[in-house]
Amino acid sequence: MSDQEAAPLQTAPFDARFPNTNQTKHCWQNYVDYYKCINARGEDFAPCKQFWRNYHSLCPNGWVEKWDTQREAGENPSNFEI
Amino acid sequence: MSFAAFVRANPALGPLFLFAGGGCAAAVTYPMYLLRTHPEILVDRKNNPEPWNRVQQHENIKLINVNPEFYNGRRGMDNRRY
Repeated sequence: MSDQEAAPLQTAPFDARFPNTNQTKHCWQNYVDYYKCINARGEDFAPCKQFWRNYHSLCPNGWVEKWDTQREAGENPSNFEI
Repeated sequence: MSFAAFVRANPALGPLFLFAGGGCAAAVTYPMYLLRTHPEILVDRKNNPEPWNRVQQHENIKLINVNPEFYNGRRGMDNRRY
């Protein structure tokens, strides 16, 4: 093996709000929560990073890119405030 | 003649009306109950825009729970809102 210490492998933990196979809303909720967290607490607030990791595990990359482009253009319909 | 008089005249049809009537009542009230309590159904966009967020981490929202210890073990867990 090339690296002696592998980085700990993790994924998004179980969320009782989304117990079924369809994790679409889980993905969207984490995306929105990350940006709400960033807006409320600033970019360097460490606990926000858990939302970032969760939505990168759960969401298809195409969705993340589409939402990011929409968000930068101000066209994302989700509410990232409060 | 009235409904009660008809049933009294044909008592063998009593159970039919009982079960069919019960089924009709259930077919009407069960969807109404779901509209009020199910965490994934959005009815009131202004006052309750995200009904799934009221589900606690130790709550099971599926019909049957084969492993209640899993959910009971999550009792103290904090809700990961933003």
